[in-house]
Amino acid sequence: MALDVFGDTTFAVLGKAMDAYSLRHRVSANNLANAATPGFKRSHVPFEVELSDILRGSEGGEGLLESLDGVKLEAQVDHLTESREDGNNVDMEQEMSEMIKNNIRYAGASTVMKSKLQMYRYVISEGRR
Amino acid sequence: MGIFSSFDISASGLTANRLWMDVVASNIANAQTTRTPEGGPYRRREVVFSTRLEEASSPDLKGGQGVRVVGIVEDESPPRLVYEPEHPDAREDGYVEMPNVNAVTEMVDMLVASRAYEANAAAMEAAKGMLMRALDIMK
Repeated sequence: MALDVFGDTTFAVLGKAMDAYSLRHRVSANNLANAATPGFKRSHVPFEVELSDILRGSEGGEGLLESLDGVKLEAQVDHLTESREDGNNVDMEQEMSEMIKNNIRYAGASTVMKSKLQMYRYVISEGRR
Repeated sequence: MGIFSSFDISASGLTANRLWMDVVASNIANAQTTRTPEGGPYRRREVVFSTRLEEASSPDLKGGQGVRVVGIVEDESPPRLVYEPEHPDAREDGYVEMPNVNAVTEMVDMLVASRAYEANAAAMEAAKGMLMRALDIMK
């Protein structure tokens, strides 16, 4: 169930994204661990397109929380990337780059969430610090 | 071009230079190899780099080009001849055809490849620092 704080959908959307990023990190770690396993195919977690469709589809936040629950977060095996001779298609550097990008996205989402929480805290304490 | 494309570009440089290092290692390891499946001595190999357009960027953008290795080619220069009549692979005239590998050239290539790898890693680190700094604005 998506998180609903004072009818604010920010936490729900960011929470979903952070769930996806942490899954993606695990998938990247698995890919890196299997960088030398013959026949291994890398996996990835695509969810951005689906999420942005949902956000665009529910402009006023109508039914957003329900559709957010419908976004499935799962790793998909990547058969498209060219394989090496041993049938493995993990590129270590590419995987590292994915990991760094993912880290930054996670940091971005948590920073936004934190500043949003700070706003609520400010209001609750009636403007006192 | 997305804000994250610099990571993919640096990663492509890292991959390409690691492959180059593999090729240099193969050249050094086979500097004395006189037998190959294709027959004759080992021939020195070279990598061919080509720019790679990032999928997300349009061709008119000057930035956003990574690198990729389009092929590994053999050096066509003649083999080094060494006079050694008792060698099992010696020719009729007593000369042995040795690989056309020059240890000094390989050492220089190795240095260039490893420095290029470092440079790409540094560029990636810098891009990471920039984005993290951008996030700090919100703190």
